[in-house]
Amino acid sequence: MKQDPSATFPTIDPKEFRAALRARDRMMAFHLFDPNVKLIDVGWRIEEKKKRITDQLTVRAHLRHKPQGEAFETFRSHNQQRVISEEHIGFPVDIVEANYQTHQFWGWPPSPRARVHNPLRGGISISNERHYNYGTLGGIVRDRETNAKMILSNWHVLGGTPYVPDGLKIFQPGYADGGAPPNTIARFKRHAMATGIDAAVAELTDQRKTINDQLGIGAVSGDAVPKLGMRVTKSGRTSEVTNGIITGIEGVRTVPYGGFMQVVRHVIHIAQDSDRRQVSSPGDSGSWWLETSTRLAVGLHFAGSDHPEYGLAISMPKVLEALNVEILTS
Amino acid sequence: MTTPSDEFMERAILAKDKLAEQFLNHPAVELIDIGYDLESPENSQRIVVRVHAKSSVRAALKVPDEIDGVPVKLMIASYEEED
Repeated sequence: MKQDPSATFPTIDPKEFRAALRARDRMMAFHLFDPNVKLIDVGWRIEEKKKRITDQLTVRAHLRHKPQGEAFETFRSHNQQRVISEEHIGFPVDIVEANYQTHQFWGWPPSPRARVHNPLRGGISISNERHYNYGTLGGIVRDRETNAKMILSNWHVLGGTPYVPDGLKIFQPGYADGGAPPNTIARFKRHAMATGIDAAVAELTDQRKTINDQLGIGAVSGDAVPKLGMRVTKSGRTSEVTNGIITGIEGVRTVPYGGFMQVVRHVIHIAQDSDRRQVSSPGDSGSWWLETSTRLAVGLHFAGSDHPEYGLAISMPKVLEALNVEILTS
Repeated sequence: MTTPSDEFMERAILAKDKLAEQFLNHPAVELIDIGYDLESPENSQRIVVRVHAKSSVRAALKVPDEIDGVPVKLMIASYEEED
């Protein structure tokens, strides 16, 4: 956002500023826990199209996704209570599209899972070419119709937007682990978010070999329905090999998806096992949870909580069915 | 660990769906599922319908104690996608 360095802003009237703060508090009461809201503040209105900051004082809601035009009308018709309006807040309002992330570049030695791997296997770093982040390559699958070999991970790792361009490149390691176009290992094929499953597949480019192996665990032997009390293990880019126990099934959760809240279904809940160690960490999205004794894949990891320590995954049989793929065990 | 009967699971799924209709769109509700009552140490093997919510709204979120004979519990948690 460029601003004329010689531009000056008017002095703010203290009475107006106090009114803005009260309006900010009203906006917080109604909207701060909306998962699409990333920040609420008082500031100058931003004219995004003209890339200019104005001198109008507003209360600003910073949204991860800001639906516009027809998308906004559809959103408003289904989510009237989530619309942020000046009438409701009682002060000029500005809506800014922004997604803030904590920056954690602490200079730790790069994880071995964050380097180039050949052959490809489950538990290593990947990302798509557009998002500066990393997730986990879950494992290798086969398209039931075309027999094409693919990798299976989350939609929010491999695509991350509702309209993913055909052939979006997938890097190994992920972009934030130093991945770049020469590290392209696959091209995005399809996802299952429209049916409420945060999962996607990308077709391998044959640049590297593959092996049925979860780094630090061993080969996957197939898939199974997750059950309460099942002891499970996974191999992830960040927390590596961790264990857990399934304490919840048939969960439903809403996630932002193109300006709307999409219901994600068939969620399984994983808690710490008796070792009380970490279950998962950012960067583990896309890992496969396996039943410990059989190494049958029961869940696709997609989210976690640190306090208390829990992981969330989607039932693997439902994932495979939605994407019309099967796990390659040979 | 307790294994629920098929009949109980059918009732639990219906109860979960009813709760989801009522609470899933609440901005502080993170997840609704069927599972162990982890926040009751004396009863942690009991299977209930669980509403996972951010701690700040624990008192304000009025979930019923049971639906159609299936116990309902509020659990504190806050989840983030892990990419």
